[in-house]
Formats: sequence, C-alpha cells, structure tokens
Amino acid sequence: MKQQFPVLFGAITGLLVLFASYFKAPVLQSVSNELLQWRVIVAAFALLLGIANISRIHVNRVSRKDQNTPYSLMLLIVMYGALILGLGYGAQSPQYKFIWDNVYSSLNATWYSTTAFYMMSSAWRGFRVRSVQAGVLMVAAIVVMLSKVGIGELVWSQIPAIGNWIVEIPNTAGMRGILVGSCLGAVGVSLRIMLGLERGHLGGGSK
Amino acid sequence: MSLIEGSLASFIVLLVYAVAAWAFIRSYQGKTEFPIKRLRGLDFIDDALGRVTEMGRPAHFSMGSGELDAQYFAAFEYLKYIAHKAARYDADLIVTNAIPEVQPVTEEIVKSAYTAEGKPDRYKPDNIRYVSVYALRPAVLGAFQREQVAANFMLGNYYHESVIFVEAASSVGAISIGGTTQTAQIPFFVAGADYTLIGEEFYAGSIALSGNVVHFGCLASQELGKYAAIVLTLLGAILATSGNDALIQLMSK
Amino acid sequence: MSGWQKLVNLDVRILWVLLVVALLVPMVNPIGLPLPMKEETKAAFEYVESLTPGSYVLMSVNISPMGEPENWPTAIAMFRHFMKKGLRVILVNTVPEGTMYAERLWKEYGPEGDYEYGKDVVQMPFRAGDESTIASMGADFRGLYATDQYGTPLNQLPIFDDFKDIHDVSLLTEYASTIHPLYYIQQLNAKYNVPTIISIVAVDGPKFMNYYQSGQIEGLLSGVAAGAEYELLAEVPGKAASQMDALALGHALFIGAIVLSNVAWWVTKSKDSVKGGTR
Repeated sequence: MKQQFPVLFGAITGLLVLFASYFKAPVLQSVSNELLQWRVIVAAFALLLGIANISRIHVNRVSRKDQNTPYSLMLLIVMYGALILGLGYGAQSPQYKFIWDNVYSSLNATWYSTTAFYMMSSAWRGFRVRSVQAGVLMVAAIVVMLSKVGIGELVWSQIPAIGNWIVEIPNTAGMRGILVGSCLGAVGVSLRIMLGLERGHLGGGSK
Repeated sequence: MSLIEGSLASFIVLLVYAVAAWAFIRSYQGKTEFPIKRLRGLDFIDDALGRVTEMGRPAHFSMGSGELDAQYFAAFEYLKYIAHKAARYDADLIVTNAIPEVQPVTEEIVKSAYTAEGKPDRYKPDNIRYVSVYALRPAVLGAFQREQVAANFMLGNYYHESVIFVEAASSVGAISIGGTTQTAQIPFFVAGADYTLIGEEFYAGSIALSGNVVHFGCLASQELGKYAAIVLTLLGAILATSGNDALIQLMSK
Repeated sequence: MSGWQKLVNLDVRILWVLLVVALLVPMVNPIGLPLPMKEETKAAFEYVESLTPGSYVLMSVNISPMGEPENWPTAIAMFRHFMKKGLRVILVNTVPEGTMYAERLWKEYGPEGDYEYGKDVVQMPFRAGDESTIASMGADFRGLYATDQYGTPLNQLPIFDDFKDIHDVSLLTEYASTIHPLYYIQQLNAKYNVPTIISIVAVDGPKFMNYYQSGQIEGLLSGVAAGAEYELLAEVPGKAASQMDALALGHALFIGAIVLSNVAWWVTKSKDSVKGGTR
C-alpha cells in the first residue's frame, strides 16, 4: 500500500493532465486546472520539508559540539532570523529588503561570479587538443567567442559572420539531435510514471 | 469530447510511442538478456566506487540545481545503483539536494539500499542533505574539502554548477562522472569530468542499471522514435527546400 | 624544470588575478570596441515595434542575483521600449527572487514613461511550482492569480478590463538564467501560440537558437551583449553597453589561456617523448 497509493495517484493525476491537454472537455479541463494548482501548493509545502531537514542536521551538529558547530549555529540563526523577519514584517518590508540587498543578493551574485574563475582554471588545465576533432573544436570555440564580442570584428571583419554560421548551422544541428533524443527519453519516463510502471523514486526499486 | 486543434499529430505520435513500448515490453517478457550495448560510463561508475572503497573516503552524489523533471527520475536509478554498491562495500555516500521535493525520495532510496544490503546501521541520515538551490554550490564545495570525497557523481538536471563541481572535485583528487540532458552544460562535463553521459545516453544508462523489462521496452520504443525523427527530419528538409509545406501542415494538425 | 613545464604547472590563481584585471580595467576606462548586432536581437526589436499601443505583454521576470548581470539590463531596456510603445505590461515570476526585480522594474523605471500601477503595469505574486504554474497561467490565469502582488483583486485593477485569458496576450517575454524559458515555450508558446521572446544567459543561447531558427519564437536575446544591442536599437541607453568592453577582454583572456596552455602542453609533451618520457 505504501508503494501502490503514490503510484496510482501519480498515474491518475498524470493521465488526467495529459488528456486535458489533448481533449476539449470542460470537466477534464477544470479537474486538470485544479490538479495543477495542487502542484503549486505541494511545491510550497515541500519547502517546509527542506527546512525540517536542514534543522535536523544542524541541530544534531550543534548538539555534537564539534569543530563545525559555530557554522551550524550561524546557519540556524540566519535561516530562522530571515524567516521570522519575512513572516513578521512581510517580504516587502525594509527589514527583509535589507537582508535581501545586503546579504542574499551579494552572496548569490558572488557565487555565480566564481563560475568565471572555475572556467578559467578549466580553460587552462582541462581543454587539451589531443586529437584532430579536439583541434576543430578549439578553432570553432575561438571563432565563436571572438564573434560574440567587438574584438572579433577588429581581428577580421568576417569573424562575426563565420561565428554566427557555426552557431546557427552545425551547432543547432547537434543541439537538435541531442534535444530530440533527450525529449524521447523524457517522454519514456513520463509515460512510465503515468502508466504506474515507474517506481524507481519509491526506494524499493522498479523491478 | 473532441481533440484540441493542433494536437492531433502529437497525440498520434504519443499513441504510436506507447503502443510500440507496450509491444516491446511484451516481446521482452521473461527475458533476462536485452539487446543493449554496455555504456562505458557505467563501468566508470563501478571503477569510481572501487576507488572510494580503496581510499576509505566517501562518494558524493548530486542531481544539480535544476527543476524537478524527468531527469530526476533517471537520476534516482543511478542513485539506487550507487547506494547499493556503496552499502555493499561499506562506503559512505553523501547526497546533496537542491530542491526539497526530492529530499524524502533520496532518503528513502539510500536507506532502502543500505537495508537491502543488510547494513542498516551504516546508513547515515545526516549524509542526505537538503541545502536549497543557491546554497548547493558552497555546500558541495565545502563537503568536497572537509570530507575529502574520492568520487563525484553529477547525474541530473545541471546548471552552471557543473563546471564548479568538476573543477573542485579535481582539486581534491576525486574522480568525476557527469550526466545530463542540459545541452548548455554538456561541454563543461566533457571538458572536466572523467566520463560524461550525453543527452539520451543519460536515460539509457539509467535503464541499463535498472535491469527492468518495462524500462527496456520504453528504451526500444525510444530508439524507434529516433529513427522516425530522422526520417521525418530528412523528408521535411527535402520538402521544405522544394517549397512544399505538406509535412509542416500535417504535423500542425 | 623548463619554462614551458612551469607554464603547464602554472598556479591558476595568477590567471584569476589576470581575469579580475581584464574585467575591471575596461569598466573604469572604456575602450569603445565595436558592437556586433545579431539578427535575433533585431527580430525581437522589430516584433515589439510591430505591436499596437494597449497590447498586453506578459513579462516573466525570472531573474535572480546570479543572472542579474546578464538578464537585468535586457529586462530594463525592453520595459522602457514597451513604455515607449504604450503597451500594457503584466509582470509575473516563477522564481521567488523575481519578485524583487519585477517590483524594481515598475517602481524605478515606470515613472520614466508615466506608467501608472494598476492601469499600465501590474505585478502578480510569486507562485511556486515551475512548469505547473506556467501551465496554469495558460489554463486559468485568473484562477492562478486571484489578486495582484499587493492583494488587490484583479477585477479592481483597470489594466485587466480587456484581459480575459492568455489568448489576450500579444507578447510573452521571459528573462531567466534557468530552464524556465523552455517551460514557457512548451506550455504557453506551443500550446496557445503566444508570440514569445526569450532573454537568456549567454551559455544557454545556442540551446534556444533551435526555437528561433524554426520560427517558433519571435526573438532571442542571449546574454548581456543582446541587452547592449537592444539598448542601441530601442534608443534607451543603459548598463549593458558599458559592460561590453569588459566582456570582450574577458573573452580574449580565455582564448589566450586555451591557446597558450595547449602550446605549452604540446611542447612539453614532445620533449618528454624525445627523452622517452611516459606522457
């Protein structure tokens, strides 16, 4: 029952939403719309699960009093502090916006910016021309990079046109191939879920 | 009840796909061997877990920070396989989740694996961590450094963390295996990871690991769909080039 | 250890410092490099130009601080262009961070076009659920959003007087650093034929080129470069153009790093093989 109910529920709701996108039937449409709204609510509630998990792990760490205790304590204070401010004063309040502008935004942008440094290391250490194909890839990458910025035009006036051709023709062809294959795979997974044949996510296995 | 305008072609494609999958499943019933080539990436997973055991260091698994979609269901199969192997070899497995919906699922998968391998006491609930989308990168990098992981499995819906994780794993000497259908991230995996499962390979690998007849049936149907797509693309290109839009009209019905 | 070998084993932190310098210097002292104009940016601009005043634009501001440098200048430039054209703008977001950016958009830039909240522009509250939420926008917009961001029922907001459902939207624009544009294409563009323009971080540009090339979307704005191009086309000078020199030098440094590291690797590799090395 522990496995059958979620599988059955997933199958019924999945099929209802699927058929609603193919058939004109007011009842089907309204049931499907309702289910889509449920998904929105479930997604919001899932956040509570996340908060519970973070709390459990870090409360345990604090109670163990090891070298990471101060970090866990800080995480709990910041997480619940922001939550209380948001709930107490509202997400549009100056108090909450202060945290947003001065802590969250800065940290978030910083983390994304670090990608540039990792890409730099990757460019230096990871990309080695070991074969003719890798050589072609490197030349194409350089031309495309040059074509996207003003430097390319200064190097050679035809670079933007060649770069655009690489992006629009060979690149798009390859992307389409991968996309079609991936979509077929995704349709396969979705069909299995809707027909109640996918159980890999239930832990017990799909065999 | 009638069909919504413009959805006939896609509905027929879906029906054909489903019927083909059903026929393949029927034909595979009772068989234990399936006509599928062994993906090298799966051997790499075994090698990586062997390395984890030899070094006595944990393995790390993450499904990326992307939204919950079909890739996660494929990733669950990988996680199940990796968790079983880790439990069998008495290795620690850390799972870091960016989206809350998958937290209970991953807990259940890893716990079931350790229990099935007769080692429920080796299961550590604190190793299955939810950290939120934007905290995923620092949390995983912190885990790499503090816990000195020996293998880094990046299988799922990845965004820009792909390049960060492969580089950070390399800095602690961990072997990396990447797999995603996110076309923008595949180049980073190819450049930095020790092995990459590209696009549909990612789904095929999960099916190969599942050993499930239903999954193999769907994979065969998927393969058939691919050939149909190739034929339609060629036909469409020839017709469109010669100024005939019959196929476009047909597919828009 | 030879000079080439030293180069192969170079401390990457030196490269990081060079990267910071390459990005910062042109921001302080702009070089004024030429700006190549992409066809897909022009197509987006021309589509907006073709809209009649009063048309509804659904503007999905799925921007987060991490995507801000690439998407935000484009969102500002387009919003200012919408105001010039007198279009009615409905702001939505399906990532929580988008709320702050949507609000900044109409509060900071709305007065420039005398845009009145509730009449010319409106902000919808954040809804979790990603693709399902986007599907709900198409299936039942008024069911998904009973009120605006500030709790006012939709029937009390004049902007919604002529708005029944998604079929009334003349243009959907999405600004994101994630997979959300694909959800919009699947759920609103393909299903309800809503004309769509996508603004995406540069790394995802090639992926969405498929949809532009096939004619499924009206325009594609990839990265901050597209923002700069749009600012130029719409004659709304902004932040993006000022970042283009830094972007160009950053690209040049990456190209230099790839080429130099490979040359060093090849030289050391061939020396090793002459000496009977193991590489």
